[in-house]
Formats: sequence, C-alpha cells, structure tokens
Amino acid sequence: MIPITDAYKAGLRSAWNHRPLLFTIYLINFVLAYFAVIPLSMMLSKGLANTTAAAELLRSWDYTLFVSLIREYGKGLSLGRILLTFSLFYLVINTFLAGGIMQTFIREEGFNRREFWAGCADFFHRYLKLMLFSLSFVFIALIFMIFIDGIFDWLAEGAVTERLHVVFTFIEIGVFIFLILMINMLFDYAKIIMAVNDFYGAWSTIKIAMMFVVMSMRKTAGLYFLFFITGLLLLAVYWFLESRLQVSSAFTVLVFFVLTQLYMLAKTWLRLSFFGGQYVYYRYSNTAMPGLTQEMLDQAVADYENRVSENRKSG
Amino acid sequence: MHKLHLVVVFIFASIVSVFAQKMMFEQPLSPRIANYEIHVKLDPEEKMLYGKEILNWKNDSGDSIEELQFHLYLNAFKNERSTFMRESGGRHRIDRMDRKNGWGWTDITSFKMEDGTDLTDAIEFIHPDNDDSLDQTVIRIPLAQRILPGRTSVMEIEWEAKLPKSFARTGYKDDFFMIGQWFPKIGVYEEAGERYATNGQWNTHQFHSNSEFFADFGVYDVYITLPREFVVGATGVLVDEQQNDDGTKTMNFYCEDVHDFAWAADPHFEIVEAQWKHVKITYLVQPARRANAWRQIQAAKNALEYCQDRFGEYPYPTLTIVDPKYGATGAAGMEYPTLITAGMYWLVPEGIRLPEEIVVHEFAHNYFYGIIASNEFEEAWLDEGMTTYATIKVLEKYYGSGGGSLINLFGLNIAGWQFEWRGYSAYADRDIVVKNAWEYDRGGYGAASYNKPAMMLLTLENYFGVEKWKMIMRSYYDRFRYKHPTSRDFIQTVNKVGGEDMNWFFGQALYSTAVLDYAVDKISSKRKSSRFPVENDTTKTDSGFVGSGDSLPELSTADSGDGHDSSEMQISTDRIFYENKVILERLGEFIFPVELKVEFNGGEVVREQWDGKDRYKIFLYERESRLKSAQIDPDRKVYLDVDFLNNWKTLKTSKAGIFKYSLRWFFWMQNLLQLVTVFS
Ligand SMILES: [Zn+2]
Repeated sequence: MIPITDAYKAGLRSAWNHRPLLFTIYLINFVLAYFAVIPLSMMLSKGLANTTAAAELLRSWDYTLFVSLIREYGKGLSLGRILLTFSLFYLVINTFLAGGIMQTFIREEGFNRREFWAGCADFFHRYLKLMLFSLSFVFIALIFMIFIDGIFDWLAEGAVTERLHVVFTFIEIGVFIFLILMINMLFDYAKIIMAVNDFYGAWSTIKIAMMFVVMSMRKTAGLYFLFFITGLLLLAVYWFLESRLQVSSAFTVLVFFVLTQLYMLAKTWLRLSFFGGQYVYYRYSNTAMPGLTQEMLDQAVADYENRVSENRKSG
Repeated sequence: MHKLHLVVVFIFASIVSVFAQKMMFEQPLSPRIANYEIHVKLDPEEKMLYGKEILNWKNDSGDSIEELQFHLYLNAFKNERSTFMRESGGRHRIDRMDRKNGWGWTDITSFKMEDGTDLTDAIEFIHPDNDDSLDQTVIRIPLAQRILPGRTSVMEIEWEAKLPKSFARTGYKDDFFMIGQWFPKIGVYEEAGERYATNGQWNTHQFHSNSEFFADFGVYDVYITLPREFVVGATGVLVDEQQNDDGTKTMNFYCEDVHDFAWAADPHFEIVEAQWKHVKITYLVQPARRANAWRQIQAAKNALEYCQDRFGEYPYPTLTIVDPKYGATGAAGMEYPTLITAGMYWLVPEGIRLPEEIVVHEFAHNYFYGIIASNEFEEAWLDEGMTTYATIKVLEKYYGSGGGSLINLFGLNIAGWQFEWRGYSAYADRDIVVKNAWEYDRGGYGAASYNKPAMMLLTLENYFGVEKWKMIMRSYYDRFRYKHPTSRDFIQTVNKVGGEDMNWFFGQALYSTAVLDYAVDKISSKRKSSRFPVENDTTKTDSGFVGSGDSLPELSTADSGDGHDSSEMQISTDRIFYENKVILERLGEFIFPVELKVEFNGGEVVREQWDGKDRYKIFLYERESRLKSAQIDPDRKVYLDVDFLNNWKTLKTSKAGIFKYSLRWFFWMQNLLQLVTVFS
C-alpha cells in the first residue's frame, strides 16, 4: 500500500509537472467564463456609458444604481438561462478534456499536445456515459435528501424553537455536500480505471471503481479530503487577501484581476492534482499484487515522477 | 345561559373605585371617549377566550346617538366569505391561513345597557365599505334610548372568541398566544366637520387585507385569567396579580390614554428588562434567541432616543416587546400601544439589521399610530409612511456608519432608505397616496403607504433643512397628538411652520401619480479659438441661459461670442477656449427644484439652481478648460427621484468602474463553471 500522503504529494507534483496541461485547462475555463459574462458586462457598459456613476461605483457600491441599471438595461437578460446554458456546455467540454488529462497521466511521459487531444477524442464517448451515470447518482442523492428532510421535519415537529430546524438544515447541507463529493471521488476513480485498463463498459467500470473505493474507503476518502482541505485552505487565503484589498482605482482593479486569476490557476492545479494523486494511488496500491514492498512502491513513484519531468524537458 | 349577572350598581361602584385607585397620568392626555374594563379568561387548550367588558363610552359630539357600531375583528378569520379572506385569498405578508384548523371567530353572547336593557337580539352585521354582505366584522346596535350629547353611556358586553392559528397579526401557535383585535371594540363617532365627515356618522370599516385600525382613546383596565405557568406581556403596566385556587392566576394590566389593548402569553418566554430614562423596557424573548436580546433592546433604546428628540415625549412608563414563537411569523412585526412584536431568528448575523429594523419600526408606530392616531383605514400613509421615514432615520443614525444601515454583509451594503426607494420607484406612477387602504392592490398599498411617503418626507426634510424640519415634525406631534389628524392637518402644519405654501408639492406627491425624474440629457464641450473674452471672471457662474421649452432643440453650434456684451471684453485672437454645454431634462410630470453641479477639467466647480418647471434647460459655459461632468442633485437630496442613474453625465467614462464589476462577475462565473465539473 502506498501511503496517501505520498499519493497526495505525487498528485500535487505531477499536476505541476504538467504545466502546459494546467494552462490549457485554465484557458478554456477563462474563455468560456468570458463569453458567459459578456451580456452582464454589456449591460454595465451600456448603462454606465458617459455617466459619472461608473466612477462613483468604483469608489463604492450603490444599490439604487444597480436597481436602475437592471431595470433599464437588463431587460431580457436571464441570469438563470445564461448559467444553465454555460454550465451544461462546460460540463460536456470538461468531460471531453478529462480524456486528455487521463491520457497524459497514464502515458507518464509529460504533456504532449497531440496525445492530449487524441486522449480527449478517444475517451470522450466513454466518459460521456460515465458523466450521465454520475448525474443520475446525483439525482438519487437528491431523492435521498428529500427523504432525510422528511425524517428531520418529522423529528422537529412541534419543536419549541427554530434551533432544531436550523441545526437539521446545516446537517442536511453537510450530508448533501458529502454525498456529492463521494460521487465525485467514485467517478474520478471510474475514469482512472477505465483509462488504465482501457475498459469500455461504463457500468462495469463503475462497479469496479465502487469495489476499489469501498475496499479501501479510509484511504481513498482520506486522500480525497486531503485535496479537499487544500482547496478550503486556498479559499481561505484568497478570502483573506481579497478582504485586504480595497478595489477603488484602476490599479487596484488590476491587482484584483491578478489575484482572482492566480486563485483560479491554483484551483485548476488542485483539480489536476485530484486526478494525478488518485491515479498514482490507484496505480501503486493494487493490494492483490503479491510481494510488493513499500520500498518498491516508493521507487515506482519516484521513477514515475522522473520519467514525467525528463520527458517534459526533452519534449 | 347567564343566570348570574352582577348587579349593575355594583359594577359602577367597582369602576369608580378602580379608576380612583389606579392612575398613570395626573391629567388626562387624551379625550377619554372609549374606556374599557375587561375580564377575560384564556383556555389554552381550546384556544378560547371568554370575556366580559364594561364599556364606558362618552358621546363627545353634538349629535344624539341612535345606534352604536362595533368592530368584531376576529370574524375576519371566520370563513371564506369575510372581506379579509376574499381580498387576501388567505395570504398575509409571507403567511398563509391554515384553512383546515386555523379559523377564528368571536361572538357576542350578551349586550346590555346600564339600565338593564338587553340589546343582544338587536345586533346586526353591516358592511360599510362594500357589498360584502356576508362579512361579520362590523355590527350595529340600534339603541332603545338615544345617548344625548355630552352624556356617557355604560354597557356590559359578554362575548367569547376562538383564536385563529397565528395569522395576520394575531392568534396562537401551540402554547404561544398573541392576542390582538380580540374584544368587541366600539367604532369612532364623527360629527359633521370632524375629519372628513360631512354628516354625523360612525366611522367603522370591515377588517381588510390591506389596512389596519382606527379607534378612540380611553382607559383600559384589563383582568387576564390564565394558567399560572404563563408569562404575560400586555399594554400598560401590571398593577396586580392574584393566584386563584384552580391553578390559574389573574393579572391586572392598566393603561391610560391609549386606543387599543393587546397582550401575549407563553410559558416559555424569558424576561429581559432594561431601563431607558422613564421607560421600562420588557423584552419577552423565546429561549433560543436570548443571546440576541441585547440587539433588540438596543434598537428600542435608539428608537426611543431618536423619536423623543425629533417628535416629542413618549409619555408612557413602559414598552413591552414580544418575540413570537418559531412558526408564529404572522404575529411578528406588529404595533400596539406600548406593546410591539418583534421578529427574530436564531443566528441572524449582526450585518443583517432586520431584527433591529422591525423593533424600530414598530416602536415608531407608537408615535404615529399610537399617540397621533390617524385613521389607518383611510389614510394609511400618515402612520405607515411616517413610521417608515422614522425607521430609515434611526437606522441611518445608529447603524449607518459601516455602509449599509439595513444590510452590511460580505461587502453587500443596502441602506434602509435604498430598500424603501426600490419599492417606491417600481410603483411610482401607480397609485395616489391619500386613498382608502382597501382600494389598493397588493403592491400598490406598500408603495403608496410606506415607500413613497417615506421618500417624500426625506425629500421635504432636505428641502427645509434639518432644523426647520424638526420644528415642523415636533409641532405636528404637539398639535395633533390624541387628535386623529388628517393629511390636511399635516399639510397645514408644514405650510405654517415651514413658512411656505407647499400645496404645489403635496398636490403632486400625495394626490397625483406624477413621477419625479430629472436627468442630465446631454453634455458637450466644443473647442473654439479666437475672440475669447479674456477678462471674463471665471469664478462667476455665467450660466449663459440659451433656452428652455417643451421640446429639445438641436444643439446650437453658433459662434460662442455672439451672446456676450462686447463692452465688457477685451478680445484676444490666439486663445483657445471651449464652449461647454449642459442640457437638463425633466422626464416626469412632477415639478421640483433641482440643483446642478458642473465640474471642469481645471478643477472649477459650478453649482446652479433650476426651478425644474420647463421640460428642459440649457446651461452654457465658455471656459479655458473642458467640461468634465454634470450632475443633477449632487448631494442626493431628492429621494423622490425614480432614477438616479440618469442624474450624471461625464465626457470621460471611468472604465475601471465598469471593469470592477465585470471582473467580479467574471470571477464568479469562472468559479461556478469549475464547480460544475464536480458532476462530470
Ligand atoms: Zn408598520
């Protein structure tokens, strides 16, 4: 067995070693978000064109100006529709990219553009099926939550105060997030297993992934939450820096932009680390492999990292 | 069946003795017209009230009274046919009527005059406001004997009531009871010339979906009997408490010079007490919210301090705040004399000042609803509008420093006035303000009774200046407390104390749907050379008025020197100057004087006044520097303006301002898209 801390470190390092991959993913997110924000941005530029209100809003936020902006220039602008359209689109694109990411990790030879796109194309069809399964798992989780909510309502019936309701609501939110994360982890492994073994059947892959995850639940969940906590730490750091930043001039707007994009890059790195770390963990923790010692595993991980970084240099 | 009646004489003796013992004020503050002694028993299991009231009613009119009229407000919740249910569809604020078990009603079982005449069978339901013949919230009782002018009549009324499930200000939730509009309450008799009355008549109204109440002042002496474990809060002061043998207790509350009485009971209440000058504040709080009680106590103190300074003395020795139980939101946020209900939830962050706002608002009602007591059925704005204005001012003064006085959370700031302005500006052209409350549709009532009058009063305050406005409000309070004033009385006070006939303003603001919207229509700056008047004093505001009228002209490109008196100038041929032009426009029908602030690139600032009467007005400036920006109402004084966005124009847009918010949305979008990948 490979310790999860090793897999964690290997994940972070391998995501870093695949920087071109990192930037590609980041750029795609950037471009899509840019298109999604155009209608809102247009509303601002139209509504604030030739008004001193723009300068005023730079100094401080003014609720009344935004009410007027939306009333006069936001007609026909449906935030919900924009969010839904772009979310679905991005979901599909991301499923496409996941193939390339996996291919890159499995080849263990660093990032190669041609191989990357080939991987995207190769796995797209299969990963799309996995994605649909993933969505149906989320749907089942939602139904489960409705059931839990019913039980909680029944338990809190006749409660003297709202305390129980509030606590239950927090618990429900916590449970739902946990379920979503577990589903996410399961399908990460499903993607890895599918790619490593070149499986075709989505459902059979999911079953294998389930077995793998359940059999070493403490470890797989432990690894996942190590990454997850790293994400929370990143968020905390971002929040801290943002709260120090008084955005009220062209320069501070620029600083704000740089800060947010550094944060997005860090998050993209972390997202790749999830894949990388879990891939390393799966690859080098096959308990059925007889005679595998800790030293051999450590060596294997080291070899893997060397290969990746040398390939990157030469490529 | 009521075999045992108290001897009438004994009753009068007891009234006399009770009133002689109890006293709140040395001199009556109000004309004490409707005086009640009420004995009521609460059955918490059955949610029933059993009551008897001895009403001592004075005919202070010059008319002989041939019939009496009463409100039986709880019948609003009796069935689907009540005016309230027909108008509201069983909805009030965010609440829904429980149509299965939630109904409530009241029924008079005996009505007797002091001479023993039984008028119970003569009771008749009436519906003064419309054709809802099945509504049972107002009754008339033809008298066997007239009540002569100046005479006081005494009647004994027995009744029972089933409380509704907490809804529309009143009712129960489990063992929490908020008891308002609960006893047969006499209407207001108005003789010809009183308020809007042209003949002598009763002023009673059905219980409507939009609208609250109207009643005469008096003394309330109320005996409440209920199980001992209940903690009770009520209008006035607790003067006596007796333990009864059957496990109940009887609490005697007493208050003078009020026009209503409400009480609340709950065995779980915790009592938090505080003192502000002469006022004892009692907060009956639900145990889970005990830790937050200080917020509402402080809000009450702030409101007391502000209102006492800006309007006048709060005369009563007590203020009771009731925190309705979880699930009894229908009872939250309501005002009664010296008793208000709050609205609080466990863990509401301090940056959300709604719990404070509710306390401030309901307390301020004690001035406009409670002491001044205008007719809320017919001129709701005199109460709700002024109360909303006072609430905005208190929030601004005590909570405004960190940005949003109402909400200040995670960088989102909303001030109290901004929130009200949003409601006003969305419905600005919909309804006039002085209108019967029940004739509005849902959104219209709030905008016309709360939001618009509040914006109007803020605008007036800026128009007159703080000190004069304070004098106006103080003298309105001083002159009209306990007198049920009308809109006319308020307007006359403003005109008199303000020293200016403001009918032109009130005609537009209260009696029309005219919209106030001034805009900077166009600004321009043209480079010119030669013939610049060198000795022109640049500090002088030479607003070269070009014209004004009903439709906008094409921008004039005429030679700039033309309009000037050449005798005052020396001509320099090689100087460069700019012809700067600002065109203001009146987009709405509401006419109001506005201020214009013009800034030039050289740093010069010019302020102008415009009476706002014409459709547009052109200001022309010849300067060595370019025009930078022009702004109408630069100090945000005219809160009635429905659009602040068109108040500013500049020749150079701040791209950074646009980028700031675009970037923020862009960043949110990036995060959202990345979050979606969790599902892939
Ligand atoms: Zn109110």
